[in-house]
Amino acid sequence: MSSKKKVITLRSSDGEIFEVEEAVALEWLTIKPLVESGCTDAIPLPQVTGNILAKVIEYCKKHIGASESEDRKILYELESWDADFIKVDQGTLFDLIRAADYLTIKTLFEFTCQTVADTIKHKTIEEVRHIFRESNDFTPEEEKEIRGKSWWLQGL
Amino acid sequence: MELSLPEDVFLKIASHLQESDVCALGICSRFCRESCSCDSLWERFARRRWPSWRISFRGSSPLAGPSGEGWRHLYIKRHNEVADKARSMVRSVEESLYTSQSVKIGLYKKIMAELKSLELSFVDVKMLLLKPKYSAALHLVSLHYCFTFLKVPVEDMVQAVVDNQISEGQVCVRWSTRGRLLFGFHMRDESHSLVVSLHEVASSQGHRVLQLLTPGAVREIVDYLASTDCHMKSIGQGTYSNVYKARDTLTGQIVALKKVRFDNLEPDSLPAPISNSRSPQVKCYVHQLLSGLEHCHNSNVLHRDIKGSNLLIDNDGVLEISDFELASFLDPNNKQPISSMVVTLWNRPPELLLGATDYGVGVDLWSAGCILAELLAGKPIMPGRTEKSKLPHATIFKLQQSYKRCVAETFKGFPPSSLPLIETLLAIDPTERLTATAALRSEFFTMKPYACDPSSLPKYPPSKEIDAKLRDEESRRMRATSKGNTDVVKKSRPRARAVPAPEANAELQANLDRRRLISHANAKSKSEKFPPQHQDGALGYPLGSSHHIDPGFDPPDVSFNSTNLSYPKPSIQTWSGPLGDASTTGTSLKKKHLEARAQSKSRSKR
Repeated sequence: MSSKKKVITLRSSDGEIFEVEEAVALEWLTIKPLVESGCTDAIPLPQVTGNILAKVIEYCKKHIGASESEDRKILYELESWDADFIKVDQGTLFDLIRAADYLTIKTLFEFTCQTVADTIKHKTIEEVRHIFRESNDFTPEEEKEIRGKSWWLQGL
Repeated sequence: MELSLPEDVFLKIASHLQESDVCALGICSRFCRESCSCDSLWERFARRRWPSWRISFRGSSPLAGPSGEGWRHLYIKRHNEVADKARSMVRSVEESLYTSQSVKIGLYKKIMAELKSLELSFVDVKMLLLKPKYSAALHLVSLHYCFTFLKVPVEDMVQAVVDNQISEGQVCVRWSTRGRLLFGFHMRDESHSLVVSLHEVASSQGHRVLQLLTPGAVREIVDYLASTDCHMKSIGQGTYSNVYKARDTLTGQIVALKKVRFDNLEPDSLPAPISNSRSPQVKCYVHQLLSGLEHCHNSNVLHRDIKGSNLLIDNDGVLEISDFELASFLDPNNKQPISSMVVTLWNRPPELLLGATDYGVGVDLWSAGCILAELLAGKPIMPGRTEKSKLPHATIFKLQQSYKRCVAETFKGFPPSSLPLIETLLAIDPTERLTATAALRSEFFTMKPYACDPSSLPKYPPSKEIDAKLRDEESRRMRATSKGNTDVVKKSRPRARAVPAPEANAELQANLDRRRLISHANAKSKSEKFPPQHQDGALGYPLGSSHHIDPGFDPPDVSFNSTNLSYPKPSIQTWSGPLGDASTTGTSLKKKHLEARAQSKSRSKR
């Protein structure tokens, strides 16, 4: 056990500087090689803004060690903490997904994707379009045809 | 702010979804459609749904599928096969429930065996059998199958029941134990019954009911329907209403529950015309109706909505007045103004059409008169879709310069003894309508032929509508393309039937709105009181051709401002508002989206 924990410096796209423990940074597979190589400079993260990076660090700090815990109470607390953590607007949620994908943080990526999937559940096509900010680029005829072809699951 | 996601992230999210949601997602846009047909996604779904499915692949590439068609194609093919078989099982259970209100143990065992031989997976069961629109009995056998043959853990079972919103469904299991020989006496067979909710069954693998069902002591399983909406089973359909089988949560009794359907502009008339030769039958019904009204009025209760569909006639010919939704107390000492927007339009008396707020038993008597004439004529006598279009009809009875009262001519085919009673009941002046008691003393009832005995009335066969409805539903299901196209009636409580459905009959909706607003009434022009969807002249039936009345004709001498009533202008509600158009908000985002995708593809990953 080292007396002084090694700290990694990160720089967000908007120039904010963050410091995280090495253990946390090692969970981020994208920067893991850099951390392992003993990089002491601030690691630039040009695809993540400061406020999102802060959220990501908050999540990872909370989860480090706790996720593997066998203690039911800790797991339960973590679950409710997660539920509060993810109470963010659609834009932030999608930013978190992109950040988790970019940094390759498996736990956060799974969690955020599951959250989006849960919001889509049992929604109408119009609502799903809105969630994904997808615009309908089908012609009316095409859409009719596609809807017709999808009956096999829809109409059940 | 960038909102769109790269394709791999999109696929990741899709893989967390249910198949039906992925299908919905695939309709969103070209990008979604492309992503959602991704073969690896459907491979995942296929493996998730049918873990034991063995497919022998030609060559070494499973992604190409056995004949190069891909996983999605395979998935759909298998799904359709399974769904077909599941449908036939559903049908046999529903048929049994319709004919004998129960599922006998023989059928239960047969379905268990069938489920086993089909090797339905847990996902199949969740997707195809545990649907809220199916009966609780079917749910029970499905749960039983999952426990016995699939060894599904309790937590997953409970989750499935909750997700499918069937946890409140209840079944009643009845069985009997063979009477024992006791001191040489053969005791009687004992019958037992046990009511359980599906949630209870799902949360206990060794539930008593399942144990009972396994050795087969059980005689039959009855759908014990909870009063929550999704478990109510429509057992019949009336002109304006659906009748549901439901359980009274307080007494545990199974009751018929009527839920009014407002979305229908069909005539609100008694089902079968009764020929003149059957006037004893008419007398019998009308006598019962008037007796009922007499009782109500003597108890100072105004029904205020007497119409064919509110009269229930049982198999013994006994007529009951139902639906006291609009009824009110009649307090002769306390003259509060009351709403005139009561009584189904066709049976609404002229004083109400003109907006009276001070009225009495006369309104019910007029409606009774309408029923009597309708029974004799075989069709509604004064149909009209709006208040205004009704007035010319109503004024045919008015003694005015331009409108001669012509009851006798209009109804010349009626038995002569009925005419004085009709004259009285359909009198323009409410006071001339007298009372129900007086009407019962009319010569219509005292002259031959007398009213027949209720028990001698013809029995109407139990509604064949059910079969027709089943057929319709089946074909609708086949055609169904949209997820939103569901025929499950969503109502939280039976009491909620008083509030019309969003697609409500405009006339009734307007009435209710006005009824709510009536206490804040302020004087406004009466001519403004109709919402625009009430176009005059949109009539159900014209009256007899010999007395042709132009419904669009507005008599110049009928003043709408002549009464002391005033209404606020009802707020016009648009119920069928269009859904938000995603294309208008998403165009600029789309562009960003494409840029993002290009960016994500170019970036070096892992």
